[in-house]
Amino acid sequence: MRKHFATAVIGFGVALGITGCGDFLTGPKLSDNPNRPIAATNANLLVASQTNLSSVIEGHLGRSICVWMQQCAGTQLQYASLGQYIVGDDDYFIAWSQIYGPGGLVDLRLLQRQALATGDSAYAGVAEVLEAWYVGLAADVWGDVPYSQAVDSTIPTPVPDPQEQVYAALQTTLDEAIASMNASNPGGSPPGIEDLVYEGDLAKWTALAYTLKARYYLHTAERLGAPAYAAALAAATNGIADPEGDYLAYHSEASTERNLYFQFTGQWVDYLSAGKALLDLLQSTGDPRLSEYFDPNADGDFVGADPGDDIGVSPSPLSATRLDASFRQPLATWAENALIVAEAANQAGDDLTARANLDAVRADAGLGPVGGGGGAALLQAIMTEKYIRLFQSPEAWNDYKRTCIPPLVPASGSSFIPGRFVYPLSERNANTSIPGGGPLQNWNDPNVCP
Amino acid sequence: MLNSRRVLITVAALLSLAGSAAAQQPTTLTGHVNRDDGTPVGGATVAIPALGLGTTSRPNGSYGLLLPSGQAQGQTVTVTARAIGFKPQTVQVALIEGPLVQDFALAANPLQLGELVVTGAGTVTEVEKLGSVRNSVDSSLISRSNESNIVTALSAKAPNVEVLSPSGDPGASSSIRIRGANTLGSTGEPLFVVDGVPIDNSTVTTTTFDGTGFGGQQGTAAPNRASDINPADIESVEILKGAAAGSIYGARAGQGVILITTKRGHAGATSYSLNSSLSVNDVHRFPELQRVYGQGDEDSLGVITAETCVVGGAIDCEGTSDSWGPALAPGTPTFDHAREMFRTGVMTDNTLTISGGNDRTLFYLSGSYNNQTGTFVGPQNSYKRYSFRLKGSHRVRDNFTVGGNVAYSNADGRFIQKGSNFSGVLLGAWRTAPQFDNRTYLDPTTGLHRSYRFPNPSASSFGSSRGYDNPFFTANVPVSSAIADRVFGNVSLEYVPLAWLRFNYTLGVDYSGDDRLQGQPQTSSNIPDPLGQVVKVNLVNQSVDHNLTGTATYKLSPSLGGSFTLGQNLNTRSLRQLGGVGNGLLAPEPFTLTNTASQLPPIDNETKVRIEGYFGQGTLDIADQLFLKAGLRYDGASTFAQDKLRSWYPSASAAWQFTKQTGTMGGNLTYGKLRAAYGEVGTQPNPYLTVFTFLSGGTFGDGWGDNLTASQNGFGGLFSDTTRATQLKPERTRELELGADFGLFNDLADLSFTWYHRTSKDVILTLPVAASTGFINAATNGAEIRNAGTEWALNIRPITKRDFSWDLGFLFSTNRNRVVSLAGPQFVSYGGVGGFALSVAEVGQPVGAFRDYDYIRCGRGITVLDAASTEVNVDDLCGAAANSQHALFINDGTYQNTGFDPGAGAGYPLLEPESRIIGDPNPKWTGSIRSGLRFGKISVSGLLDIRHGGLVYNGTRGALNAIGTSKESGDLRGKSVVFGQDFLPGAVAGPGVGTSAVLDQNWFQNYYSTFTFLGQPFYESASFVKLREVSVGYSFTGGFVSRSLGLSSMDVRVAGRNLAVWTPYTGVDPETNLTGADTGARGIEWFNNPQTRSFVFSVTLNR
Repeated sequence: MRKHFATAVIGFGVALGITGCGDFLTGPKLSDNPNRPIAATNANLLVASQTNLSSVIEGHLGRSICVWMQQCAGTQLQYASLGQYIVGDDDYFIAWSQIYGPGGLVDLRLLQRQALATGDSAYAGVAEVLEAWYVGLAADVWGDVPYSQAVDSTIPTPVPDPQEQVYAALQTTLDEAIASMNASNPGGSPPGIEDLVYEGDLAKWTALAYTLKARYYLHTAERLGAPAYAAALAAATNGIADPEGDYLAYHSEASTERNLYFQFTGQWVDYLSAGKALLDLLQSTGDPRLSEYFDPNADGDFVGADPGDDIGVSPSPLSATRLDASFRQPLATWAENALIVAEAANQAGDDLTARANLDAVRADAGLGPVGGGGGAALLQAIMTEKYIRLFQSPEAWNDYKRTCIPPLVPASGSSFIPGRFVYPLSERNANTSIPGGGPLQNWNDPNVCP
Repeated sequence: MLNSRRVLITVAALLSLAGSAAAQQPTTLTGHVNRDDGTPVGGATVAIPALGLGTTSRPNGSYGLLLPSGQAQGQTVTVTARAIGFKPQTVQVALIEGPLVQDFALAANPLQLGELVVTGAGTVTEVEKLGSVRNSVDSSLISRSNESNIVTALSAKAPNVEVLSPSGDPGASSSIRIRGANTLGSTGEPLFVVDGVPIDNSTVTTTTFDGTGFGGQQGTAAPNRASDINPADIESVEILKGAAAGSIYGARAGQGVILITTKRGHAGATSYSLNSSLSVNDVHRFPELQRVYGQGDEDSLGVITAETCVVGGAIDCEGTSDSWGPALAPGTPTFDHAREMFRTGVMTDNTLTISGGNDRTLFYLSGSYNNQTGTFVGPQNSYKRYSFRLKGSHRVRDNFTVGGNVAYSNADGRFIQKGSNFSGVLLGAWRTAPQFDNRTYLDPTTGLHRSYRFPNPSASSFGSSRGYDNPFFTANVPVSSAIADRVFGNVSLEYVPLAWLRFNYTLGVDYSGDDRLQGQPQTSSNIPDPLGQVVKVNLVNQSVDHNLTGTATYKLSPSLGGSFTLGQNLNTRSLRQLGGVGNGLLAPEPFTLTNTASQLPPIDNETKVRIEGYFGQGTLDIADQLFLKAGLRYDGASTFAQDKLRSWYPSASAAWQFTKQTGTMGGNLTYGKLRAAYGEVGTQPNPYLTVFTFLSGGTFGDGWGDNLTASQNGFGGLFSDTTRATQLKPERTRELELGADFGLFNDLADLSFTWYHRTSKDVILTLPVAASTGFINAATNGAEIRNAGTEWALNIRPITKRDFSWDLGFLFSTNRNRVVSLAGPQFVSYGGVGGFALSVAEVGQPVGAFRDYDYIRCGRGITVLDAASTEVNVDDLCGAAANSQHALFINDGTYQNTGFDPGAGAGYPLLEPESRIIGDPNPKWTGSIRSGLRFGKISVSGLLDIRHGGLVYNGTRGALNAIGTSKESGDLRGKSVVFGQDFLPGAVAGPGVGTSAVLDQNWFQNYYSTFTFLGQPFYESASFVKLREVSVGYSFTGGFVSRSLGLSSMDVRVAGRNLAVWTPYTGVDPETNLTGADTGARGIEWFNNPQTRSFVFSVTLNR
């Protein structure tokens, strides 16, 4: 009896012991992650990447540019300081990581590999257009940025390419994209309605690619002069031809899909208000866009704030239209393309074309044809219109750095408006190839605005 | 002595007589266990190890053991009586049939020699055989702390056991860290083991689910799950600090192990104990606020304008956040915004325990109800905990005992919005302009939420943010609750088939279901949608632990013996999180997901982790003075890479009681032991870091709380993981510990000294990688951290009379911590306030070092731009003396920093555009002084907790400087000062020295506040002396207590908790922390909820 009992107890222990052997440590939910997929379709990646792009341009990066370009004004605490160019050394790291990281370049490359493996060249081409957009944005704000060595698993510390080379490489990328999208693609499955903006319309993507080409040619024009303008003009000729082709970020009233300006201003009350430069410009010319962009303040007045001035009189907020949750932020438009044509034509001496394009844009805004002369005066009119029309677009900064139009007065105490962001600390922390500090202007901006 | 000798003679006589008895009778062994002064000792264990028999003495000291007939065959057995606080006594008894009497007289044992210590995974040893330092906390110390959270109760109880209680909110988490930080990837909390079963002690804040990505710096406090244990159920806590002590837990012991043993029943009459206590809590430290200047702003031209939006202004106008307006007219009422949110909180605790049993069956039953209301006005801070526990054991056969232990608790916490949060109660309160009356938080006309920035809400404004929520609104309307039901239990078996062989088996289960709700009403300011938000999550935690050990003892000769233990441990833990976030309330109530306009992707997360371990341990006792131990654990864990699942964890220790060899040195040195221990332990990573995945339900945000989900317009979006998967292996901590324990002056004093050196290699952390590679970080074995320190404990018992005793205890500890290497980056950030202070691990710095911005100082090689935008080295402008002093560089208006910031002009310093290491949150040393005095039935005790060195970031002060409500901003505003002389005293240099400068709003907001990338002036000393505990108790026995009430005793106690704090820190408390126990970052204040002090009255009825 006693023996049986002992055997039973020991047997029980051994049995429990044995169950522990073998594959106790491996198997479902142990060796794999039960919460996450291990593969993504082309459509999954495209949707995420398009969303990510709009979150960069509408996010802190885009808002900062809006403030520095005095279309907006920072009027509370951190944003008031931002208006005085007081920024942290890691403020734009999230934007940097969105450009290169998940949803950005690394996933677009994956999408290209995946698409080409199944012969979906159209999908690969669309991914390349987005790639050029992301990387171009990085080059615009930081200057020299990693591209040739970026998102390569064998290179832990990608070296920045000179800004000039980045822009040149992007032209190649866009040419490839255009070729891929227009290649015969039998049996392939190009983007469909999951494409949040163009719903798979490859002609629109092609036009966008040309507009981006024109945009990047312009970004080199202060250095390269006439050839850059000529190239921009040539590209823009094939660019977005009508407002139907505008690239408008997708947004809706759903709480997961709301415009970031709506989200930001709802939470950070009074941080972002009307910029005095833009508001005064609109008010002085009786431009109908005054009430499209801004709302009157509590006293019923349109008041803009000077850069970084936490003023006692409450400044005008952004308009209800622009702060609508479902407002689709224009990221690349027919108007921008037309004004690129206008600027490039003006620079080539073709004021007739320049004026026609400017007037088309003005007409679209409800304004009559532009008066005044040609040449420099016309350029002034073109760039002023572009400054107004491209409200909240990072292009305003690129245009200002190149043309110094409109003439902006830097924040009190400063002699100039910053021409770039410093490389984010987090990237420098892990990437010894990225220098600290860095130049005050990028390669493409040799002349500081007065 | 005389007494016991007489007993022995009597027993011997009895034995010789009984030997001749012929009939087969059961043997009964009875007697009394007394102190050596004759007073009875209840609860003493009397055991015959050879037969596997044992019992415990009743309160009157009597005991009885029944030996089944047939067991007494004339052999002589060892009978041992043990009781906590007494030296065990062992006698040889020859067993015969029939009744036997054996009394014991136990001597006091201040050094606890011979007492059994639980050493984990089913092993025990005796105090003098321990090769590593022992830190033990018994039930009386726990009850004296008056804490309802067992983790908080361990505060100042052992050297280098640092307990952090970040706030005084009822039910809020506390965290514990042993011998400094030696990991980076996890929170650094030790493993908690209750009665042999590891339990969950995680802290999860509801806000981590709200979709903003801000996590614990916002939202509310949350409980740490060990707080589900009723401290009154705890018999003792053993803190296994070093790697050698913890190595039996292998891959989970890297941060130390806390072994909790719950109370059990004792044989004898059933005893009843009812403890009722009442604590009155309040807040006694506040920031200083100015009450002179009203809401308004000063513009860039120096014109000061009062805010016109204040009461009576336009409907729905948005007032400035600032109190930089003109001085208020004399007679204008102002309000005490620093204090007005607080009230007196109350905690009641009632615990009833019933325990008892006989020589075969023991039981312990307890039930308790703890009810707390917090120190904030309003219903949103309270905590209720019901718990009960039943623990029992039954000796089925003489050599086979079964046991069971089940505890249930229901903890219901209501938490108030706090911290870096526009709805945070103190953020709103302390930023409010002095002339605004927050108490009328609903507009009398519209009934809607009004705040100082939104004083006149219209009826249609329920979708508008209030800038910052009115703190009274926050205290009354939003809801945040955590309601957890938890069951832990185990069954245990002990089987002793042979006198030298013992098997122990424990199967334990820990299950909790935790319902979270965070309802932010319409008009709440903290979320992207001012129409409100509902976060609802259900957290289910489950773990099963199987532990089997077999121990064989051997004796080769009278002076050579020992034991071998072999064991197996299997552990499975799973966690499920299911919930949702809804934005935009349709109707003001209820806070349900169905009452929201749109929802974020559901929260659906599940993890499962397993451990499979085998361990062995051998001991060798030589000549009763040299005790050697060696152990080895072979541990496998599912979270490592497939080819690195298992690894070895060795340990070895030696203890030499040298006074057995050298003698006791005439009573001056009565006991002396030298010890050395070496061990290796590990830390496990979070699951699934070794597999590449895509993130579903992910969002893209810019760090300001606004974001878009990857899926849009009904189309699924996926993006790749931000963390690169790698082949993780265990993090390994190696530690050498040396020490000595001395008993001095006939045990009137004892001294313990310990030195340790521990190195953690292959530390698992998510290491930042260059984002231009496509990943933001990588989970790697990427760091090495070193900790070294000393620990001293001195106890003195100047008076040990029967009716009068006095004892004193001193603890002192140091720890030096350094990050030796990081694979790749210069530093790793693991917390802080978004955009401001950062806690980092940086090579050459201690873990948690603060990285922040300073002014430009000389001697650091900093470059500035001159008027022509040419780069100039500041050091060339300062001179050698100033460079060596790191003097503050004072600008003459011609220089600006390289970060585009023009600076404030002549006479002011410039901000350095790059952050740098500012300081260390870790203390230089910590210590405590405890004293207890017993005079008859009166006992008095006190505990001082001391911390020296280390910094706290007073971000609250820095933020209020910008807002203009801080006292500092009121006293200094508009003043013309000279830097280095009448402001920021210290060395100054540069071309602007001596130029007077005006401290206006622009200066405060852009160059002297935490909002604009300046941190250095707001790091303050965290040194403190706290009067942690004071207690006066009186025990009524006999007399009316027994006659009229029928009780054996009634204990009455008056106590205080945290009654006084002496510190140079100007914030709420030097122990405060923004993120609570859920991250490794420490020492950050940002509108944190303050600590409380308590006055406690308690009555215990014993029967």
